Amino acid sequence: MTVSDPNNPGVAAGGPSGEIARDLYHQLNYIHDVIASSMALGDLLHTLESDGLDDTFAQVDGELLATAKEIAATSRRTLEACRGLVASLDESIRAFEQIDEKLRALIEANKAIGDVAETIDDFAKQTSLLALNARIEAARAGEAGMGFAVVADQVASLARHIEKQSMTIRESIGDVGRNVDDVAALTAEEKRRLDGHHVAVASVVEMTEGLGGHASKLPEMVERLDGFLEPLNDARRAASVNRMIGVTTGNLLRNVSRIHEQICEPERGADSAGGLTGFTERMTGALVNGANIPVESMLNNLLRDGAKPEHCLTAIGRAVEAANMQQKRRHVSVGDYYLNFLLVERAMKTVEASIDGGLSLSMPVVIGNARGDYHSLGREMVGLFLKASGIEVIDVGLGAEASAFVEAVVRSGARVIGVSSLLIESGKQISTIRRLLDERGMNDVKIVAGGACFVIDPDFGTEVGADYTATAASDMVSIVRGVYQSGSDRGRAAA
Amino acid sequence: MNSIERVLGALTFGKAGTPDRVPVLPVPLMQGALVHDCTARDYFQMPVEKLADAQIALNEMLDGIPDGVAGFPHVVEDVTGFGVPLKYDYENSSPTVGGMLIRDFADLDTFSTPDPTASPQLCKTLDVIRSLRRRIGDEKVVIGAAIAPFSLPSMLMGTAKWMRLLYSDELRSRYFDRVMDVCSRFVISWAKAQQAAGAHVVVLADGMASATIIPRRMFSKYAAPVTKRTIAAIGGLVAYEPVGVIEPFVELTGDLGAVAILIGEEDDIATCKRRLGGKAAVIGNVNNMKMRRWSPARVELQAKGALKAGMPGYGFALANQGPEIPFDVTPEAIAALVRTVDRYGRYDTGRHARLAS
Repeated sequence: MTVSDPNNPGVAAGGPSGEIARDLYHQLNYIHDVIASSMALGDLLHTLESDGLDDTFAQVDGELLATAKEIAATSRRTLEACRGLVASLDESIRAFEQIDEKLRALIEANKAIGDVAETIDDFAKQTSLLALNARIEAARAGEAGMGFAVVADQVASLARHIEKQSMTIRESIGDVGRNVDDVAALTAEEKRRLDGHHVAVASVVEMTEGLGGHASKLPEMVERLDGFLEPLNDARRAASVNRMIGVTTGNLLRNVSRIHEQICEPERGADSAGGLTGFTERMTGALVNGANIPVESMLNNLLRDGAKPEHCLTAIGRAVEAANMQQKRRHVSVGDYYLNFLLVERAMKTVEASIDGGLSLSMPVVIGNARGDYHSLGREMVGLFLKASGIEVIDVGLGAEASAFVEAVVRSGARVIGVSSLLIESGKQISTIRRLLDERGMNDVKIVAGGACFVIDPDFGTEVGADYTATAASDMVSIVRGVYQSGSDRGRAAA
Repeated sequence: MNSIERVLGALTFGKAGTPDRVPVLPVPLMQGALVHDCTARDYFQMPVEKLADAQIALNEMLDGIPDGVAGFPHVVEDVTGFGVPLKYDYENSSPTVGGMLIRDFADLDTFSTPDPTASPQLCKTLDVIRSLRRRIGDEKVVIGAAIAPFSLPSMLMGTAKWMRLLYSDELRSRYFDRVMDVCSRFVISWAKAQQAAGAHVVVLADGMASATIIPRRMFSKYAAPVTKRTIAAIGGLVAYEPVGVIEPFVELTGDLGAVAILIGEEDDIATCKRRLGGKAAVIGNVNNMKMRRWSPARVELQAKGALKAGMPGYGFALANQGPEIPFDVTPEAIAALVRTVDRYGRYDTGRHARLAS
């Protein structure tokens, strides 16, 4: 679905009919935009449909319900287990409290034994003193006291023995006391730990009860989710209708475009291939299907019939963009794009040969392979597709330093840089380019990343500071147009 | 069960013995620099034993879990066989081709097959393979590599020129057979030399032959025949790596004679296995680029997904996608990859059944 070039000089030169033609042209273009948007919406809805979004919803529904049941069952089992655990912990805590009580009694008993031992010790000391006094008295009594002295010695010996035993008892009591203290401390620690477990399990019980409550709400949420399916069904029906509208309006547009060409380009005349519109359509088909068409003779016929070279260039550019739009919807290899490249290259050579002084290009773009990257294929294809779309290309070549990109921007006034790289380290050069641009205050220059490392990891472009990532050579055309378009929109808004 | 037994068992779908777990074959090449605490550029230019030391040390750092060691520093070195020098633009990046051998299509008229062992660089690689085999024996798989004949011309004349030749009827009819003949002969003798030096398996890297680069018809008509002939002539164990998406025509790779196909990160493991129909095993395919940013937990998740898809019926080994693990992937992320296999990739504990359920 294409329309002719808006900058047709035939319109301006055509007097009143030219004015009418121009108005008609603008109205047609407006219709074209509306239809294009409508078709895009239809495509989007179709994609949603083919992606099986409603099936996914249904699957999610089922999974959510199953999950809810599972959570509820698990919650019940967890609660039962937790409650058993709490009861067991309670028993353990009570047992520890009883142990604690017994230990305190043991400490008291041990202390009492210690007191008794001390009393015995005192008795032994007093007995020893008494025995000494008895020996002194026996000595004073002379012969008569000899028997008494023997008894006194025996008493002294007994007192020493008692004192020694008493000391052993006190040492043992000390050991028992220390051990009991240790056991008491360990028991207290274990009890604290059990208390902690008790609190934790109580929290688990609370959370599990909460989880069970949330799980019970899931069926309701599923019901609400189902509510989204209705609009999706409506959207699907709308998509179906929209596709029919698209086909009908597409036919309509082709017819009015032909009328438009006859009004606006009277000097060119008609040709058997259907004019520039017919050429664009045929070229688009060839690009999409990888077909070989006699592009040289087709263009030469158009030029011979009066078509301007720049209009032919626009037709080629439109075919590239239209083909890209269609090819993006399916798997396309680099080789497929290369076939496009070869066809466009032939078309461009034919058109360029008919122009004196070269093509008139605008929207300058700097492209190149970053330092360390010597894979020229992508860059060459991008360069040609840009040129075919009327975009001026400043090519800094293979293995270009970051500064080379920036200098080229300064010289050309380009607002877009395309950096191609297969390898990671070369891809990282984009951050250097970004830094150099920032240092010069050129923050509004956009960087487009392209090449294998950016395709394998689409976030790599963002990581290194790129504004866009082009996944195919022909992506650059729409990105560049978008950048310049948004710039002119900003300019208009400011004015 | 040692790695050789495990890999053979897995890649033959259990015919050569039941594997105890999924083999794991990460390809850390530049990471050898971490072992020697130097740049990748310096590492690549180290003497033979240092390169072999690094591969063994990397395997040990990963708890000895990886089932193979790489005997090649970087596959791009194959161009040195044609007298093309290597270029190191960055400290920690793989080398690139230092110039184009074929500058004009007319140069192809005198294009002939060199002896790979005349290249000091390739001789060094053969010595690394010998060293690894001597030290590892038949415990781990010693891996060799070569650029496949269909892709080698792109390294010698540039991708753009090679594409032009492929897509021009005139150039293709004049040069294609001759170029394939020269390249195929080189690849055969280079791969055989690696096998003779001790490589248990040789991986043919075919960067120009994936569905990312060429359409099905071109693979079928031009890439597949020369690859099949080359693999048959090499003999022994050859794995085939198209280095990109291959799912759209993966079944065509089943007839190449390769024991395994290394698939791309976008390819679905289960689908590829199904389409290959047991003709070749699948190796892959954790995204090596994204591993740069992934946490170990994220790598584990990804590896678990791959295991779930690849384990049933054997015929699968886990590896990173692409020719190597990028330099800035953390050792922790690589460790997560191999440890996930050790933990969840076991056939002998029933763990895989739980993973699959």
